[in-house]
Amino acid sequence: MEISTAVCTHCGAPCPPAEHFCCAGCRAVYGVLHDATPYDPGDTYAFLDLPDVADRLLKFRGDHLATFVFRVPAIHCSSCVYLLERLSQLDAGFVESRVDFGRKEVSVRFDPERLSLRKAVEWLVRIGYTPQLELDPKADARRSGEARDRWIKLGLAGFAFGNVMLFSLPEYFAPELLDPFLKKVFTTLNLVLSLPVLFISASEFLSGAWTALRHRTVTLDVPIALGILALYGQSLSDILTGGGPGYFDSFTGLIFFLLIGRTMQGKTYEALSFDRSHTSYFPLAANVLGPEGAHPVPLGELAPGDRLFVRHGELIPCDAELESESAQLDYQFVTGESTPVDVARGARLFAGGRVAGAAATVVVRQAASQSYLTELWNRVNGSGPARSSRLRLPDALSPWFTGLVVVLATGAGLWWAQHDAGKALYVVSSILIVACPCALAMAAPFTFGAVRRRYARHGFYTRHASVVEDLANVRTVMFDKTGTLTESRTDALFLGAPLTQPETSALGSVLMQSVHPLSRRVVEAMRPFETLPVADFREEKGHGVMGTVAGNRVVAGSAAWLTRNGIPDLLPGTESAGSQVLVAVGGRYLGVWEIRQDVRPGLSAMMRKLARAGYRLALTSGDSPRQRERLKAALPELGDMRFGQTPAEKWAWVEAERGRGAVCMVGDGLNDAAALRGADVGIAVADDVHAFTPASDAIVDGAALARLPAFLRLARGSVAITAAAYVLSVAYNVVGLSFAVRGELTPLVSAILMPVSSITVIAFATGTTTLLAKWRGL
Amino acid sequence: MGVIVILIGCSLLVAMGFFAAFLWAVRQGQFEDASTPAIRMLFEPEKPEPDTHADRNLPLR
Repeated sequence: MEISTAVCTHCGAPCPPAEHFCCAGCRAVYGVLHDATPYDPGDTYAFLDLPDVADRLLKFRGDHLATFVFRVPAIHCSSCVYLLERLSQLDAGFVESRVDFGRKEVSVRFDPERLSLRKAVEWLVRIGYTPQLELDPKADARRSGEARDRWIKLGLAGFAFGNVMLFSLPEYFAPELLDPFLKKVFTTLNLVLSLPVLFISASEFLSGAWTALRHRTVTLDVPIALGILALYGQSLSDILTGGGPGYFDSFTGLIFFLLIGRTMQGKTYEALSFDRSHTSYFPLAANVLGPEGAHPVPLGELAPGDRLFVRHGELIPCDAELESESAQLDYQFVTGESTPVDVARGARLFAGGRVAGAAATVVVRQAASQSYLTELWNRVNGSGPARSSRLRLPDALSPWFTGLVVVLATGAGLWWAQHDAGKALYVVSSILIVACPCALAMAAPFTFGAVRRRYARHGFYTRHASVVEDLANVRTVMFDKTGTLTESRTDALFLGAPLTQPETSALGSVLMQSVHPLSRRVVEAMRPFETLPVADFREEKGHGVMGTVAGNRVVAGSAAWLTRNGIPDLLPGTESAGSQVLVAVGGRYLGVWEIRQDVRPGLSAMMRKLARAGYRLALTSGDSPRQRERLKAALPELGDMRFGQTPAEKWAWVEAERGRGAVCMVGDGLNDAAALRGADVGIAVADDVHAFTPASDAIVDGAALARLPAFLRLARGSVAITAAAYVLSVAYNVVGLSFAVRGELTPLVSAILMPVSSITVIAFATGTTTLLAKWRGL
Repeated sequence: MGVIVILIGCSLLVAMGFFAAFLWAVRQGQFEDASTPAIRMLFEPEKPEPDTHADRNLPLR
């Protein structure tokens, strides 16, 4: 018998002697760790050497230790965690790295004397985990601090609730057996245990009520605070007068349940980012041409007159003027129009344009903070609908509820004052205790929480629970076109006899010389092919390209371009849905590449359902109207269709529509950011929800967009369920009040009623919502 | 009767011990990332590095 002594080079597990690795995963990881793929970042990340930029990216910086936390959308499995947590094996300058899988974040500690921030980031890029560099990560620390406080408050209330309940039970079930001394011990312990609950756990309800009263409004916190204070006050007076054991178990239980509701309401999807303003789309620095060549300068420090060097694929960071002879600019980011435009020297360029083709030199006209997009963003932020994580439905009911309770308490108090004055105060506090809307406070967070879980299961993520409320009120749905209704990927389709391998090579080699987007898409569609040397390459903008490969002349472009270059026998031009590239090799016409953007599957059924449900539908596109007829035929329910809209026009239209009812805007790009922010509900469509999306209230997976009618119906249904849960909790209140007005609300009744009502309301809200969602196919 | 008081004292002490453990866990940040530790525990342990053990227990943020 032969024993294999070979071990895997990477992990040390036994493996076949001929192989060096036990599995493909180890081979891949080993390749990355030992730099099998050469990578040269060039000076892409040179700006990270600027002290200002580094300071704003780092969380902490000392002499021997610096830390940063970056979001890395590429984190997707345990191998990613393995690799990213072993950065110190790549470079000794890394001290430690930790991955937060849920947030898709990596926290890295490194030694700035041995490794610069730039080198650290380049390492991440090299191993395939390009981080999203975002300035000022301070808000994050505060968020995690709040989460810790919430857990501590909840734990404290739960701890006290459990113990207080144990100490209260003997009093309820066998008061006659209870020794007076033990009774005193239990009561004292209960008092001591509930003190921190009042001052720490309940603080947010008390301060919330105080803030509301100071602003002369009544939120749900007000009746809750009334109930809390009445419970605690009545318990104290019971103990001090020796009248009874007090209501400490009800009190701690109440706070515990209320905090569970709050935690539920505050749940967020940490891996998603709902806050990106347009600035996140821009680079952190630009290359300024100085006397000694190009050097990076932070965006905020660019001044009018600076000359910038912008390469192919880079964004123009601020409004500028073209200094090069000519350039091609792709404004898809800003306007949604996907065809690049040619501009000549002296042309005014807007921030957000992407340079296609040759690098361009531009002169800054306005500082980045004054660019068109920044000003639009600031204007929208100042005037859009109020964004709050608070649920509006419970707060809207609170004034009525509170008013009713106060009237009832006063009435009962006055009646008792005439009949049995000694009991009046007790009755008043009993009413306030029993009317404390604990169950009421549970209904909405648990209903909407259940809705959000069903949504998330189908690729729809809402920022807050309150977004579900807003969705229920939507009357108008407006759509962007490119990337929203149509797929963001374009398909290139060849019509004609299949190309042979030499033809593909020749055609591909010529088209690769061109940076025109149509050429690039055809090249992508033809890959893989063998690249051959091209002679006599010529390109005429807006017409086509030609070149000679291995003696064969290749001509590609518009029909007119081919005819002009002596290609006979073109097929009669068919009415095209998208753009066409006609191709000829060796003087012979071969066929046509059609580049089309397809409407996402399922959208025509979606539009039909939305129209039947009574929603007004509209399209606002930054693109040219060349696809109007095709869209109209595919999606006839779209009422108003406007093309060529600027971001400001989109926003203004959303603003105007809001006069006729709540508007839901569905969009995907930077050019929709203002409209998304201005709408009552802004939904960002993304084919990868973890990738970049503009600021929005919700993010939907592109494949799930067709379920929008079901999402909206569930939102409406959930409001009805919340109302039913309110009826249920009010019914409990009526039962409790019937005890309270008669002056019979003993601690035992209260201790049973309070948790029973809360738990049934939670079960009802969650259960009914889940059933409804399943029935609706979600 | 006295024995009950002692027992209650003991039970409270035990409960507070658990509560203290909970507080410690929250402050450690164990409630902030509930998914990565589940993945991390599946990795083979590396060879021990005694000098880094001290700060491995410090939370990163």
